[in-house]
Amino acid sequence: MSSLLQELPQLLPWLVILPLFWALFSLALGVLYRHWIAGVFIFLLLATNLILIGQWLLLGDLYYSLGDWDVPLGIQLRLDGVALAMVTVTSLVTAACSLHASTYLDDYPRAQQYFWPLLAFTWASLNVIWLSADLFNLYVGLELLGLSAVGLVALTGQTEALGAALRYLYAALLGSLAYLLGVALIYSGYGQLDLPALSGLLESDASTRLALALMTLGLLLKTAIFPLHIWLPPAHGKALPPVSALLSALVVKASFYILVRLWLEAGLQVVVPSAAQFMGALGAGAVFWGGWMAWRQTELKMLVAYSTVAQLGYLMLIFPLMVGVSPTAAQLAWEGGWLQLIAHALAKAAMFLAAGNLVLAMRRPDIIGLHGVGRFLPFSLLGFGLAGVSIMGLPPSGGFMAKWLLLQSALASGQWWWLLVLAGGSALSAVYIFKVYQQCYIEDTEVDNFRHPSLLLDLSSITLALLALSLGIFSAWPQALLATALSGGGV
Amino acid sequence: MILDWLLAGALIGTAAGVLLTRDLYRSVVLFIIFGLLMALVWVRVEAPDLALAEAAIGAGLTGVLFLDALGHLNPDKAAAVRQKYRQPLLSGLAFLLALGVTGLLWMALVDSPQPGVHLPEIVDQQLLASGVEHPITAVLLSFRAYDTLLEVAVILVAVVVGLALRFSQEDQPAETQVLSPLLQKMLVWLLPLMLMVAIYLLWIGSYRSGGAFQAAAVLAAMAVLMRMSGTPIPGHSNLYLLRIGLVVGLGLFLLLGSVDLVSGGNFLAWPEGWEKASILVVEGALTFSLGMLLFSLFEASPAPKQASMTRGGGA
Repeated sequence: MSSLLQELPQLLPWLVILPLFWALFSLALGVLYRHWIAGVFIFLLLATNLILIGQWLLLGDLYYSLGDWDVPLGIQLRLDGVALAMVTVTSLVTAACSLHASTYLDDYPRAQQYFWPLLAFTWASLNVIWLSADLFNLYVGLELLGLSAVGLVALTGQTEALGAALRYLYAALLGSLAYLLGVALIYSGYGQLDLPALSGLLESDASTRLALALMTLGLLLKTAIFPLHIWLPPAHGKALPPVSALLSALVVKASFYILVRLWLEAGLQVVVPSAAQFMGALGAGAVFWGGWMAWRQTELKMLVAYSTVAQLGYLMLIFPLMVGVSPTAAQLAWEGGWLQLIAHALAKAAMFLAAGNLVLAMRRPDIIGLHGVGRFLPFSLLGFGLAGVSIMGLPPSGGFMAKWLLLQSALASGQWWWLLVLAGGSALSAVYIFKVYQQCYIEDTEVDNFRHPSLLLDLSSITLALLALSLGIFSAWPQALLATALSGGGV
Repeated sequence: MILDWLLAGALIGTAAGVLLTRDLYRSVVLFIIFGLLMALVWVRVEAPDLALAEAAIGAGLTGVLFLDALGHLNPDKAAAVRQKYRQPLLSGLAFLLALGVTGLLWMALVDSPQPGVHLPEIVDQQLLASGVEHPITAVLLSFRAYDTLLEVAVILVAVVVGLALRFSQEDQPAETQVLSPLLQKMLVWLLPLMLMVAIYLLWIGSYRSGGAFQAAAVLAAMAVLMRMSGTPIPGHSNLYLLRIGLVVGLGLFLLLGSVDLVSGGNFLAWPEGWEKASILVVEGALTFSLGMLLFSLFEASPAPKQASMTRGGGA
């Protein structure tokens, strides 16, 4: 087995080639054979992913020079522990969303035709970003991702969705431009774009600081970090459920991923603790404001969307908990931060799919319509309920494990104020999630007026929710995987 | 030097004009002038490839898109939009923000490190190995072909989104057409000439400024002219042909880029000894496809009346 894995050629570029071919096939053929094409390509991508996990375990971090040109002339792909985790989560979540969409889109014949190519482009661009270590290539990846995501939001052509998509487009473009300006400044100052090469070089002069500030601003806008989150709730709340799931689980994480690579890999010598504290403060704002707004929503999907705003805030704690602290505290924060990203990706995708199923069942978007769901639709509710456990951070879920690690890190570095954020945020999320549960068990009708979603729709949501739950129980393996990418250790 | 200052002043002047003018139509015209001035700036900083692209896409095609959008805009709504953006407080804040960013950029340029790596030199050293003689083409299609591949995908996605939205619109506005005998007469001469320019730009791309993007812009401009004058475009209303045309550029790029990979080599390494031929084939396909993509952006805004275009394809 191991010799077979070693003899296999490097499969890294196929993670991008396969979804691009998928997009081209589905564009050329329209709605013809769409499910078969999707099935074949998802199978190939999952198989590639599995083999890559095997190769990584055997050989360690994988590198690939595109076109056989070496850095700094060419572009290099890189698969380290974090990238492997991201690629795998992307495969799982996108596969589940595809399964959901294959049935759900039957009600939206107009959206059918262009959903699949845009989904494939989204998958391709996510893999581009996870594998890239080149600042300009990351920009191209962000552009592709942003446009595909905007297209997916606008797909139904309904006025609300169009308005949300247009806002999203403006935010994405502004974010891209700010990021690109920063890249240009870095290139003019250092003559190269490769992140690992830059990591030892960056100095704290005005040019580099402005570059980092501009790139950070752009990436914060794209990640929808409070107070730059205003575009997110309508875009995620008004899109089709499989699209919302994909956007909340993965798309906003891509720009955060670049942010972490930029701050904690390349810029570690340049970033100062006060800036990191500021990033953490933004995160705290997101946790509280997002949680409060989620509680105030009357529409189920908007509630879930604001929950994303809140959950993204936890990710920002990785900066204050890693800059200027002991190696032990830094490692805890590193593992906790990425685990939070993965747990939220799985749980939020499950929650959006479940919310879509519930809205489909009650034929109305507001939470009041949930009355009686607990009795008549226990299976549709199960996905939402299980996902809620991880979002609230209750044991044994992945969400719990992530927050536990962040909490330990905060204690280890003596930054007690982040404990308040972790505790307060969990309490708030419990409040808005129990608001939904509560409505489900109010019984004011004796008749089952619900439309019952097909089993496939419920299954795709429940599978993801179970994955999010088991992430906490089996967290040792992902933690070990993530820890390998922390080569430099803490600061 | 005086020319540069004049150019810079004119650039800022037209930019301010675009933002401040009361009339949207005048704003668009000023935007086109801004694009042309920008192209001149690129010429002044010795970036002729950018100048060509800026003139063709930045000023030409974008201008046409804006004018076209303007034609579909409800005049009352346009006025309301204008009102919204004319709040003095907001304008003042935006002005201060722009001033602040400019100041910061100025400071950054003054206090900037000296690059330890000089990439243009490395490009020149490796130029022979790339198979083409023009450094920019070598960067775009050899050294950083991956970026170009993804950029083509970006344009394709933009068109896909445009198509998706056009197909989901219920009402279809009237067709844009200019019926001018002068235009018709001119086109007889202009169209073959444009085709020649496009092919020439594509061909010289391997050793001088030019290439697929610039050639595609000329092709697209040709198609826009034909569309507006009512000259029939071959295969125009065939939806399958349109789809194949859209994907052929990226598809061929991917396929040829994978040849070496499948035979045990590297992704986007052109087959040994066939570097120039591969690059030319990819550029040719890209020109055709990108031309069609850029034209589709224009087409995607107004839904044409032909039922075959909007209803076909099982949408």
